Formats: sequence, structure tokens, C-alpha cells
Amino acid sequence: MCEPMMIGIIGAVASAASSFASYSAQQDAMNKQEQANNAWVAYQRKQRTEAFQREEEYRQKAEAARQASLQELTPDKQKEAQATEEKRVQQDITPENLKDQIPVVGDELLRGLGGADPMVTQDLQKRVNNAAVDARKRIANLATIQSYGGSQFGLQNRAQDLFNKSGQDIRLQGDLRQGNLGVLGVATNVEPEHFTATPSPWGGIAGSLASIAGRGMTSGNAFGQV
Amino acid sequence: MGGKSRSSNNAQLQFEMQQAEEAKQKEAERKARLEQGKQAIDQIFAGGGFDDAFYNKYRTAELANATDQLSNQYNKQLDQTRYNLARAGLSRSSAANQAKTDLLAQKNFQDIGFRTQADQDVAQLRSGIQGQQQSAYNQLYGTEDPALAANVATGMVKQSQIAQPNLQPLGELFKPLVIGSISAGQNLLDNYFANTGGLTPRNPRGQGSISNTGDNPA
Repeated sequence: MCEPMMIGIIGAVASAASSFASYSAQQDAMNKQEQANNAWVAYQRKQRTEAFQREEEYRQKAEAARQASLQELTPDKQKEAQATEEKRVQQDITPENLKDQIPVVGDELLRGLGGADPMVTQDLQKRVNNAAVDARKRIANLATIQSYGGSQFGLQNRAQDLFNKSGQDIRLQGDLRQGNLGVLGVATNVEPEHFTATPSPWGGIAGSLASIAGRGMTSGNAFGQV
Repeated sequence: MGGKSRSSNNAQLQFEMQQAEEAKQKEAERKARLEQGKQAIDQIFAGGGFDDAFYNKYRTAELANATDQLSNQYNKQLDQTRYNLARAGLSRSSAANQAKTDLLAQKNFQDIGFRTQADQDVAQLRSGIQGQQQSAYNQLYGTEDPALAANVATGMVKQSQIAQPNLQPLGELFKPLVIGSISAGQNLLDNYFANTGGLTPRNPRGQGSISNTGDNPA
């Protein structure tokens, strides 16, 4: 009579122990999971913060390059550059015999005019002067035209040079930024560690004992007694 | 137990919400930078800085380069025509008027062509400045979007091309006129005598018969 009761008590205790073991395992798993999640959030936040700092640094470098070229392309700067280039080209393409303000009538031109009427020599001088004036006008016009376009430092070449320089910088920084975003993408794909609560073997044994005890209490024939 | 689980999920959820908020904020900043950048570019290229004086200077130079040569050639051709008319005894004649007006018509024809070309070249220059503006836009977008940055540099060169006017000395702009049939006829006659031995450089007047025997004439 006493035995079934004893067995029942043992079973109840075993059942309670089984539940506690299960709860404890789950609680442990949850704690670990929470810690893992927190660690993952901290990791992700750190990765993002660092990536965004690098991204901003690269962007600012690209922006600085862009601003630098843009500031050189303002109307004032371009007009100034055009005027400077115009002067340079004008000097560069002016022939030596036109460098002086008053052109020199060369020996070649005067050959055979020795003793000629002064009117003849004056006429020659006048024609040479006119030719020089015409040439200077053409030189000035060509210098102006070229300084707008394709001379060495003309507006066209200058603008291209500026855009190319800043474009290369922007491209470099853009490439770095893409790499940086790629790294962040890999970091973002890192998942938190996953924990699952596995049933305790002691909990299983205790559950079996509780089941047997339960049967014993109802039939009074525990452990196979007849 | 359930409370712990919610807490853990909340941490991730809050992190994701924070990410979304950050993204929203960053996009707002990016949008503001784009708008500000575009405004600055517009101010530079469309704000009146590249005024008519800037373009007119180019047009004037190009036009002067061509018209100076045109005037020079016209004046020479006019002088030549006057000489020819005088030699032909046609200085005061309807033929002289015809020849001079024909020259003037040719001059005007060329002048119109130069002015048209200069206008087209100024249009190209304007287009080149607009190309610079477009390049500046592209760089702005490339700066704000790294995916576009790769295309920024290669697109630059094509953007700011401007036309180059003809800088070579102009060829013969005027078609020379043949003036005076008498002159032409005289040339033919001279050639005839020259070829038949009637007139030679050694006997320009055609008097007597001169033959070159290799001996010194007595």
C-alpha cells in the first residue's frame, strides 16, 4: 500500500525535475541567443559606422575634386584664362620680323633701290608697314580664335584637362566607395549565432520514471507486481 | 521566458529601424547636396557669366580674320580689273560697270558665307559651354553615386568639343575676269608671230630676218 504512494511521489518529483531541466535548458539557450544577438547588433553597428565613415571620407575627397574643377570653370576664370592664352598665342605666332612695332625694311627689299627716288623708297616703306599691320591684325584674330578653342591652353583644352583631372579623382574615390560598400555587404550577410535548446537526458529519464509511477499509482501494480 | 524572447527580437528590430532611419536621413542629405550642387552649376553656366560679349569676341575675331582677307583680295582684284579695263580702253563703259558689280557681288556672296559660318561657330562655342555644364552635372552625380563615378572620366572628353573655324589663309576668292577682246586678240597675234619666227625676243619688232648660226654677228 505504501509502495505505490512512494512511487507516485518519486514520479512527481521526477516530473518536476524533468520540467525544470527543460526550462533551464531553454532559458540557457535564450540567454545565449540574446547575447549572440546583442553581439551581432554591436558588430553590425560597428561595421556600418566604420563603413559610413570611410564612405564619407571618400565622398568628401570626390567632392573636393569636383569643387576644385568647378571653381576653375567659372565665367571669370575662363575669361581670364582666355585672355592670358590669347596673349601667349599672339606672342608665340608672331614672326621675328614683326616683333618690333616698326617693321624693318630688309636688305632684300631694298636691293636695287640704291639712288632711287625717295618717293619709291617711301612707297616701299609704306607698303611694308601696311603688310605688317595686316599681319598683326591676322595674328591678333588668330590668337583670339585659338585661345577659345584648341591652342595649348585654350578654353577647350583647359576645360577638358580640368574635367579629366577631377573625373579621374572622382572615379578613383567611386571605385574605393564601391569596394567599401562591397565589404559592408559581406559584413551585413554575417548572421548571428543561433542557439536551440536541446532536451536534457536526465529530463527524459525523469519523465519515464514519472510515467511508470503514474501507472503504478493507478493500478497498484508498480514494477510488474501481479 | 517569453519576455526575454521579445527583448532579443526588439534589439534586432530596433537596429533595423535605426538602419532605415539612417538611410532615410542619408538620402535626404544626398538629395540636398544634389540640389545645392545643381544650383551652383546652373549659376556658373546659365547665370549670365558667359554673356554676349564673351561670344561676340570670338565671332568678331573669326569674322575679321576672314573679311580682312576678303577685302584684301577684293581690293587687289578691283585694281587689276581697273588696269585691265584701262588697257582695253573700257574704263568708262557698261562693261566696266558690269565687271565691278560682278566683283562686288562675289565679295558680298563670300561675306555672307563668312558671317553664316561665324554664327554657326559661335553656336558651337555655346554648345561647348553647355557641354561643360553637362560634364559638371555628370561629375556631381558621379560624386553622389559611386556606381556612376566610373563613367564620369571617360565621358568628359566628348563633352566640351567646339568647332574650329578655318584658320588657313583663304584661297583665291575671286574669279578673274577676262577683259577686252582686243587684248585677247593681241595675245593671239603675238603668239602667232612668236611661233612663226616673225617676232622673237631678239627681234621684237620683227624687222629683218635673224637666224642664229652660232657665229657672232659682224
